[in-house]
Amino acid sequence: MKHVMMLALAAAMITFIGCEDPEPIEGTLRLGAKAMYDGNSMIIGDIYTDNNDRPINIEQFRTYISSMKAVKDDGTIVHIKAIDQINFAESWFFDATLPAGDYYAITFGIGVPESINADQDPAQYPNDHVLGFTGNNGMFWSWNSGYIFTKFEGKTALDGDENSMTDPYAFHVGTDNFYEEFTFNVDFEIDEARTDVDIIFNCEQFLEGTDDSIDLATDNITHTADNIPLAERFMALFRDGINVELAN
Amino acid sequence: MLGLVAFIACKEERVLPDQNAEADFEYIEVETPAGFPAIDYPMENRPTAERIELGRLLFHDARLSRDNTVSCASCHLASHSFADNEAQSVGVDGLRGDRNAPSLANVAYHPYFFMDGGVQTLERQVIAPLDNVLEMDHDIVEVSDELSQDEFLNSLAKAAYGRNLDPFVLTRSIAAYERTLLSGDSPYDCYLQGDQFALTAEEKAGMELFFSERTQCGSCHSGFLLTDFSFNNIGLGEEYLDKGRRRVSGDESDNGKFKTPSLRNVALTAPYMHDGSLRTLEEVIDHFNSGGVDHDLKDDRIQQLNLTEEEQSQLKAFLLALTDKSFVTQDLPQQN
Repeated sequence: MKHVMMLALAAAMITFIGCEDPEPIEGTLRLGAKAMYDGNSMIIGDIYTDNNDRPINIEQFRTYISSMKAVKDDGTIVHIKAIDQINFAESWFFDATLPAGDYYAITFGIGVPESINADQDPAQYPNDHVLGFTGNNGMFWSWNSGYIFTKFEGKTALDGDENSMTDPYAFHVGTDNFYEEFTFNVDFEIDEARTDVDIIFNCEQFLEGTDDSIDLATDNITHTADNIPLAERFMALFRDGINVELAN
Repeated sequence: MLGLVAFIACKEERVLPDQNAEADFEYIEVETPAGFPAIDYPMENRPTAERIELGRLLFHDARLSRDNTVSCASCHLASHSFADNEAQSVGVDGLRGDRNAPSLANVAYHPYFFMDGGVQTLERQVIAPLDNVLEMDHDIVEVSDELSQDEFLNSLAKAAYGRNLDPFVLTRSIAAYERTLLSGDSPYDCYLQGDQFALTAEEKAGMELFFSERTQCGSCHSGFLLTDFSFNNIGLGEEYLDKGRRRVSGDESDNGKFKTPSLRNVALTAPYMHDGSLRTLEEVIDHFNSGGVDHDLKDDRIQQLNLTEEEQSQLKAFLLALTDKSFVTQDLPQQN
């Protein structure tokens, strides 16, 4: 009788333990990217007002994002994705499966790392790969060393008339010297629920920042090597226009 | 572990032939001219007979251009040491390119390509003329798709690289062929190999002048290819519409600097300079003899030389002795 009671107790304990939810060992991080203009979602082709009160539209905004990683509170670095191209004409996100736990930072590079830039070429990838001939979507210089890291271009009206948006601007930045890695502190937890983190690109800040202001009337085009000073100024503003935040 | 998985996944995105596949190819030894060093081939594109033959066919195939009128060979003719005699070559729709077409002789040894050095590998160089609106103006993916429908070419692609004819095969095979364009059998080479009678007295006098402290021609045109691949402004004008090296470096001090060309077969590649502005060897010699046009960035070595007419003739005689006649008469495939 004593044995029977012990067996029943053991069975009850096993049942009890079996009903308890196990600790998750991994979960999903949805890393997204959003382009904003003056606090609202930036829409390709829409007309906004630039830093000199002129109308401006953005016809193309693409950037390579690479070496995406998340950093746990204990310092462990977890790789998310090697490289992708963000086309801000479409929504962009990537669902990564990460070990469960507390995280405090997201790191990523803007551009194509040197190891896969100048001495490589699109033929080494499938055509539809983001570094391949079709997949790079015009983000490769065949006459120069490597990929275009960021394209930000569109039109403005220097006379202020938004009905005559005919003055083009184009910031095409690339080459190894312009590859840059960023680390943003953002606290989040990976558990059974999906966690969304967004990289925010505040487009109005690409022309106006704390220390500099680009006037599209005079400084409106760079393909990097043909105007390195402007590429440097643009990237300094671009850098300050990025932040990362928890979306949910 | 996750990091390792991500790393492996990243590597797997590449489409280079793996080592097992490479083991299936029968690599060949390409004979190099006497006195030339061994060629440093990319691991992914070591030479095989199939790769070279496919590249040779594609090099001469006008389907690479948008309107089927221009092949690589249209501007790189064997008879002209794989250059042409145009100041700027003719591309699709009769458009002229930006620069004088360079000779492809011995490109297997070049450390970088284009006169501004903007591209680092021969494989990558193949992409640019295909893409250039003034040259072939075509889409390499479309070209590859079209050519892969050619049963013979596609079977050769599979034999050469173990895959259908695609941009990888197209760029690699043309580069493999171009690396066989080796030229080192001129009278000057025979002289260097010990034949004291290979050069005439006039040619020898020109050679001594060429490598002298006085002319300093040999300070840039040095080594077995007669170039050190340095970038120099040689005072061709007060202004340079084509910024040369500056186009890719962005450095103002590179304005008007162009890569020193090899002088092998130079007699066959007129006109000269990046823009084809000097029509003959006599005009080139005259340019250097005069010291060129003043420019802030002109190289210090470009000074008035006061060469006599006899010395100028000697220099020209030496330049003519750099012609490798066997190189320009080799067998070529039929034009498509």
